[in-house]
Amino acid sequence: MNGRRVLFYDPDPRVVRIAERALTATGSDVTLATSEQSLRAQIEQNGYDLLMVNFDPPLADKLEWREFLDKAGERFPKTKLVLHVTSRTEDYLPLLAERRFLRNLIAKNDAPLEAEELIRTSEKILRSDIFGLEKYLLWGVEPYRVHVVDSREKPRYVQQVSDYAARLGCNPRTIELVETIVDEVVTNAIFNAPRDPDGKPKYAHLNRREPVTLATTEQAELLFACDGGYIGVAQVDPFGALTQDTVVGYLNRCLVKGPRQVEEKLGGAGIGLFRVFQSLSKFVINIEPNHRTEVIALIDLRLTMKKFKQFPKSFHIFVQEDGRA
Amino acid sequence: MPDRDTFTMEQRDRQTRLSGVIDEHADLTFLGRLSGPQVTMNLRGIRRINSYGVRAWLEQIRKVPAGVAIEFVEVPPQIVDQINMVHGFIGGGRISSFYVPYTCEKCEAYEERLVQTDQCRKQEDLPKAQCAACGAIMEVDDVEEQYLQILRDTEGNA
Repeated sequence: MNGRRVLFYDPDPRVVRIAERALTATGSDVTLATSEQSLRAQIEQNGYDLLMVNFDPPLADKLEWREFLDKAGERFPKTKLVLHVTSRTEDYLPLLAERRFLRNLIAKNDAPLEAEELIRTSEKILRSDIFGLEKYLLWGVEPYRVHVVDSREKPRYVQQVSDYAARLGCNPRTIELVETIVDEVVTNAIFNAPRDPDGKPKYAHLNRREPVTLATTEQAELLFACDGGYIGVAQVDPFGALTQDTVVGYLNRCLVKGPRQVEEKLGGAGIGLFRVFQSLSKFVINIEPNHRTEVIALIDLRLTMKKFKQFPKSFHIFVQEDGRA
Repeated sequence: MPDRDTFTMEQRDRQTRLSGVIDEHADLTFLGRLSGPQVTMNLRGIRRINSYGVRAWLEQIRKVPAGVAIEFVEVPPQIVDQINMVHGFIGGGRISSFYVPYTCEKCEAYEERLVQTDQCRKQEDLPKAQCAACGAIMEVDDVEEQYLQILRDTEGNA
């Protein structure tokens, strides 16, 4: 974005070349840090709207760097931070839980960083324009839209997306992933998202067997689309009640296999988000607090199931605050 | 006739056969009424399980009466995932056979083949598979370690 300053760091020259082209093409003023020393010096100078930093070892293993980024987050609150990592999900999610200013992680796998991912992430933040499944798909793809109204209709919502995935030629396991995502996001839209006038959860305490019909003002929207590379499912609710703490807290708890994984309280099992997370390649949550939440799940159709499971997952939480992301 | 997603349990060929989706509408209370000494439970027909279904399953699998040994057979990949992700998913049961997903890199064919746990345990590996369509050797389309972990986890129960 014109006039915005972006600092990019990665020790891999190939990644740096991709980032330089991609970010400069957006009109941003891009500075490249080529060493840990220059990265630290540049951050100290301040003045950046966005830091995009590779956080793999050795950087990630150094406690001093974690502390430095923590302090930078406090000293320069208007500077946004995006990390790109190759570490496993189990390793980076605790990082998100400890650092609230950290909301965006781009997963690197055995391919270089995608220019599209860098541009999309940086521009969403710099333009404060965060919503839309379309941003994650090729131009020209128009998502299908379904209104989420009644819990008894959930099988029909799932079936519609499942049929779509089958028409795309997805194999049975990919279809199962898609069905899992739709099942969980629709359940979330009906039972967890709605708030009463005091901002308290309205239906979260209910047994999920109880039928719930959402009022017109409570209804969510389910969107789904595919651009050949990714199949995307999004759910938009008109409440904006989801928070980073909730998301990261649930995911972290579920990652540890043990008796605390599944909640035994009345209502949901507390593993819906985790099941969505396990079923996707990229997880994007856009929040306009008290107004709107959009949960986007993208499955990379180019991967075998083996690679799908082995590769780390990109994770983004974008929060629109006072017109800024 | 139930649709493909409706959870059903039926007794056939001396097996308790489950099918459909395990979700908030699946009645799993039969688990607490099983009578033994051994029950063979066939999971081939389970299409998927949602978050509420996971909790309901865990609640009920803990209620299987003492003295009843469940032998799970024809466990599909989506349930292998659950066994690997969720603590205590099969209770004290053991797995006798499971499906392994294979894909052919040459012609992109996909199929799931039934594998006997004892056979894998002897070989300490998953069996090789040949593509029925083009004859090429197929790849296991999953993290093999997940399947081998089942062998280790259930070794003591065998």
